[in-house]
Amino acid sequence: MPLSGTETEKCLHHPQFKQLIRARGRFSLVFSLMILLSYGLYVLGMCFAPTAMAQPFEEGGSMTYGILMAVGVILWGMICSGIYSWWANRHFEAIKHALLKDLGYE
Amino acid sequence: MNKVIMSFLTAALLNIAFIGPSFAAGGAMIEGPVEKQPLNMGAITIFFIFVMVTLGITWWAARNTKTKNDFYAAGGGIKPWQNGTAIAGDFMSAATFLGITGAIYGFGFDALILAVGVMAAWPVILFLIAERLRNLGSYTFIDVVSYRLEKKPIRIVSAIGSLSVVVFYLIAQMVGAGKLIQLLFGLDYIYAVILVSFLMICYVSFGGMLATTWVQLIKAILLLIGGSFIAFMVVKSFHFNFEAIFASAAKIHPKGTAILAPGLWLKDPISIISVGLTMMFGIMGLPHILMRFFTVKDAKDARKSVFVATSLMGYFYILIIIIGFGAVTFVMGNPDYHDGAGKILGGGNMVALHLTHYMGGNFMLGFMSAVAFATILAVVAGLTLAGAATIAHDLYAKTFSQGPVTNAQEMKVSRIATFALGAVAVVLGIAFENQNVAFVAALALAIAASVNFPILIMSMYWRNMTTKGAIAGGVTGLVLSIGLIILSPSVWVSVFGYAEPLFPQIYPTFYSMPLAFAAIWLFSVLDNSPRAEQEKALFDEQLVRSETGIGISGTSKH
Repeated sequence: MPLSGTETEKCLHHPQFKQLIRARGRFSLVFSLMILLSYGLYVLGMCFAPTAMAQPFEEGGSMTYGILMAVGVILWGMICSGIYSWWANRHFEAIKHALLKDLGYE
Repeated sequence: MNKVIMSFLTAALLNIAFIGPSFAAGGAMIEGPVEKQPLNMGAITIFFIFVMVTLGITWWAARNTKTKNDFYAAGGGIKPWQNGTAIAGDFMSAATFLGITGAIYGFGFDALILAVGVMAAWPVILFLIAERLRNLGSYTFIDVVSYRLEKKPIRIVSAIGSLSVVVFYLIAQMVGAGKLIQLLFGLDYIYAVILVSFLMICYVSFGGMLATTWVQLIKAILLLIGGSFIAFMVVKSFHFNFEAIFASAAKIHPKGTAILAPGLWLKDPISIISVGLTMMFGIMGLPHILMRFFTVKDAKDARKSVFVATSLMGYFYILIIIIGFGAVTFVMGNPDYHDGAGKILGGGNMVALHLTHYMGGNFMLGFMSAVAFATILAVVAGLTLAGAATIAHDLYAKTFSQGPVTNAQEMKVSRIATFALGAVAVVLGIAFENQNVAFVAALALAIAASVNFPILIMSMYWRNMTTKGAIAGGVTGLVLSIGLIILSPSVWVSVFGYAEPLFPQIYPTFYSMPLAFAAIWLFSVLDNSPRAEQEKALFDEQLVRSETGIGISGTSKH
């Protein structure tokens, strides 16, 4: 069901809507950059620093920095999604429900 | 050799690792005719139980599938943990288990990018896509793309992108399925392909999304149990010392410590970045994955399901790393799993199953073989459902029908589409039996990354995208990804038989994806039509809805 022009306007200029957009926009951007940065480091490391990635983590050990990075990006992805969905489901949902109530949708 | 390695990993990437040229670490991959195995009764029994249970669920699901909303999206009544497990199931496939394990066994570190890329994609789907997708669409990602653009042309272009991914992916799966079943169960290729298609049509046409989700869910749990067992046994054999797994692998593997560092598969930066881009952004454009977000009731549940999915996938990929490097110790150089000439029995994709046998005997081998088969069924069911939704919903109901379409008509068309896709899958599966189809897999992900992903993300986030821009971007991505793959080593050399490829990389994404974005930008900026102004103005309404969910369809309970 499409929204009417006045409904859209009313929501668009609502302070809580602005707050929601700003907070969520910033939050998801920061998290995306954290993932892109870690994955980018891993991919660019394979491209331009293969010898550094081949170094063992401990003197004489077999676990290389490369393998640790791969496992690190995997774990990092799990952690970031956990934090994001926990935070968004508490914080952003609360703002959203307050907004919807105020606009008379709930 | 490099080419061999590349096509092996390409195949592994898209679950079709069962095809492809010979495997570097010794042993033929399943290319061309494979030797039929004697009937494996244990595996067949377990698989038979799986089929009975899933058909029972389909019968139950069919009674709950009355409207198109039930059919495409399970009425929006799937719980987050169920949806999350099913999403994870789409990635914990036969190929992840057999293909990536085999790739790690052969080439070590470089193969890890196939797992890491997926794990980088999912969180970003959560942060940027999941919520807006759930709030804007009803059944397919094309709903979202066409939200404020001119419906007809944009639906047609996106449907071509979506259906290409589905069909290429299906070919890869069917050929892989036929070979795998021949190898594991001793069934003829042609019967195997028909059996897969038949079961898939049953699940999808009767049970719709509800049955498809449950099939995927059950399989994911079985695979997690099996994988955990094998990885645990490996770790236990090394007395819980992880370092020792890698040390032992480097000692036994002919490439030595090189398997613990980059460089055995991907040689130049453009290849590495191309694979990195394809993995990460291709996943964000897979229609059967995006469709799963419509099966939960709201954005909150969409977020929860991504978290469940990411956790399960991350856990599973860590198991795969242990299994892959562990297999080097227990399978490589073990005469039980090699023939007289020193080739690995059944080819490189059997590595994981040989390790399963070593750790858990015949029972575990039968169990994991059955799960591998179940995996293919679950993935083809999801693909077919996505294809049927695109045909019935996006093309028939929303684009080509004159006047409104009733629920019954649309359901009928989607069932016909399911049968048609099943038939297409059988025909193409048989046609491609003895072909090297590694390129088909690369193509599916490259199109997803260069057509579906750019249009989707820009329609959600860029106010100034117009219909002309979206179409220009979609066509650019499509033409470049198909064109460059035809000129690449996997088609130009492997299929057409020319000596030198005209395009050196196996993945076109390094060029095709940025150029698709550039075309979207350029043609949108140049578009000064009144229609374009109207589309930009509609962004406000879209923004309100995508952030708040005002106006989205209700849910039903099961």
